[in-house]
Amino acid sequence: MIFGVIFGILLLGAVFAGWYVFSLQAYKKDSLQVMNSAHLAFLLTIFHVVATVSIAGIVVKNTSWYVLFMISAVILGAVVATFRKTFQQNLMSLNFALPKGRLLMIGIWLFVILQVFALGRGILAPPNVFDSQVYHLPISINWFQDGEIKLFDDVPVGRFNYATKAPKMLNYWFLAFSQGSIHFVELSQYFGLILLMLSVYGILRNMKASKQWAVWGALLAAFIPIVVIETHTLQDHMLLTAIHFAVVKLLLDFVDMKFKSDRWGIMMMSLGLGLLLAAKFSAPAHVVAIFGVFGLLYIKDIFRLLKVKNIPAMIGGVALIALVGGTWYILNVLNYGSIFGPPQPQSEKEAILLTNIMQVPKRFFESAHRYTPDLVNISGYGPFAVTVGLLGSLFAVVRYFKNRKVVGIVLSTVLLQVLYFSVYLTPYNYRLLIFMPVGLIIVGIYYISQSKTSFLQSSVKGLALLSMVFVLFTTLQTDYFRQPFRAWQNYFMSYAEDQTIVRLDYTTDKYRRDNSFLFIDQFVPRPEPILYITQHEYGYDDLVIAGYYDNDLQREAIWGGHISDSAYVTSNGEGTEELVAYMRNRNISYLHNNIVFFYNNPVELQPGEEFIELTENLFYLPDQL
Amino acid sequence: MKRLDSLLLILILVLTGYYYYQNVDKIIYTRDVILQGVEQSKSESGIVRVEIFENGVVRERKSFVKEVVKNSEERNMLFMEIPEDIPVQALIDGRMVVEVNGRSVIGALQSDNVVLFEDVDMALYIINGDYKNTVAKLIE
Repeated sequence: MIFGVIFGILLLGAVFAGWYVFSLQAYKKDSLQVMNSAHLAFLLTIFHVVATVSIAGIVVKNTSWYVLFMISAVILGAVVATFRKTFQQNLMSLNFALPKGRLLMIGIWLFVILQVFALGRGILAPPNVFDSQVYHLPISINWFQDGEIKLFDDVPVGRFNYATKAPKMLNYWFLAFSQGSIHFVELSQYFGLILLMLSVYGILRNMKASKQWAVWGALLAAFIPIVVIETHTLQDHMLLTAIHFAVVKLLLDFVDMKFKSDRWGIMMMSLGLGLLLAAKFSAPAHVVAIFGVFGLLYIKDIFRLLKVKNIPAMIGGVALIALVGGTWYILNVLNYGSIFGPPQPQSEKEAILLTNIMQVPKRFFESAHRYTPDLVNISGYGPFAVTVGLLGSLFAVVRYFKNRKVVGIVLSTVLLQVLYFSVYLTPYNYRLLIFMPVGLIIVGIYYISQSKTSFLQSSVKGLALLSMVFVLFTTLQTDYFRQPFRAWQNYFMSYAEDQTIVRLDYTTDKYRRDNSFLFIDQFVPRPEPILYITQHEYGYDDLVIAGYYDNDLQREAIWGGHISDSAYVTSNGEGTEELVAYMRNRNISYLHNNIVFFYNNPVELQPGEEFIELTENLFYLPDQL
Repeated sequence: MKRLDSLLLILILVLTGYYYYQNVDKIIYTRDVILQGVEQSKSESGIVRVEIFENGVVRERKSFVKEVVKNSEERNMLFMEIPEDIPVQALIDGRMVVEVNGRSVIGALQSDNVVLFEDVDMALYIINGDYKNTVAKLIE
């Protein structure tokens, strides 16, 4: 298992190396070529994983690790073969030397300590955030157990179908190479974290900030509390933000004519756009904000593209966007008649823009709640972004109002925030708004880096370290456990095979109200499949699905439909004639009533006399005598 | 420019002070979790593995973390909590057979919510509901 994960990571290293050499061909030779190419190569690595998993799951219909390996080997082989004469020489151009500075070194060590905690937590504990258990993880589990990716299926949670799948494909890489271990799946968050840091670094270098300040910017982005928290979840907001800023960087490279030709620029920006659209179904708002603002600011450069010789690249770019990102929206139109899937009850509210704006001060200063993955009524932006970042950005807009890059980043960030504020209001909506603190950090750091006042620069470095220590300390415990230390102690002291999703989480609201999941986790043999019937309020299909699975995904959970339209249970909970026949034919002995978070009088199952009630909501069908 | 930067620094310091003032509770919360952990780590605890059978089907091996207390006779008292909807009666009436460390043990219903499994050097109490108060009473 662990060797499989190491193999998967080494393969990613080889993939990155291959795409790095490829990326060198995209950029002109200058002092930033190596950095620009490394950034592009990492974006291409993400694309490579998404493409490999898509080909394996949708085309080959075999999602085994060795199929992923073979597809990767073919793609990588083609890249190496193309550049075989200069491969080694080009690869050696990668330079990881860090700029000097005592305070910066302290910052880097704090980052290492932070990652030891985050990585350790991510690997030792299974995914325990609610959304991860509702759909992020179960989607990848379905692919693992089915051995293929179905583009539309009968599923208990609508998001299995209408969510964009790129983040799940990154999760799947680690699920496949660990051969189904849920302990390594959260490593996929490092795709987002590394890309985010590279993008912030790249944008700051593009804006002519020094190497040292660019590293500060990258570190501070990694120390945004919600970024820290999301490194040990399966949430997709960090990846969305990372690709957002990767696209901004590619755009800045394009307008600065860093690419060897417009055609390279068009194709690479199209790739970035496709990945952005595939990251989350709110991504179209990001596209509007980035291209709306930068398109106006750089209108001449857009017209530069309108040449006959660029037409093939533009057609290829559109095809790339449609294939990588558009696919998920086209599927939604075909399946639901809307690019975003079925209507979202959470977005049907009035005057939410004003309410959201009124909440900004309270949210930014974060006093309402402690840090959790849900960020209840707080922003999760942390101290640096809302102090130095915010004020630095305001001063930057005043001092550098003619600098289109500064104005572009600020305006696109504000516009995007307004777009989200106009359609979405919940206590938890700031998880989607990670782009704001990242934008504030980039522009704030840019202002400080251009300052000639050394006491300002030194003070900001000191405040940066203070904020890092604060975030490191306050994000140590971000769960909902009633007795956090006891919960962790119990979990780590249990045997490895018992360190399951439910085991870690059973004192939280997800499982405390309904002990049947704990019963399943502890008493139902792992190879035994479970048939489950679901109940939920209309529009809120937030059903905990991951709770059925053990550490190695041996157990199969089969959905028997929603109680209102199930073939196996009537709407008043009685088993139909088909129920017993179906279970006996499929050798299923367990029937479960999945009602987690359904508060309004869920129907009790009464499957029939053949069944023994093991515990509330769980029934056992003995073998026929 | 220096004046503008000085103004910026003053504003940053004011805002930073305000931010940390507003967020002292986050530091206190984390400190309390750590202190609570130090306190809890002083108390002895252990694991017992149990195999449960029902209706001829072998259930998964379990591990329950619980407290271990030595009584006046130097005998270990082990306390285990089970989900409230597993009836303790089922543990003794043959529907569920409990094995501790590979040996079958026979339990006796001690009260409505406690089953006692006795061995030479230990007494394992399986408690269903009201865990804290029940343990306190048993230790007394």
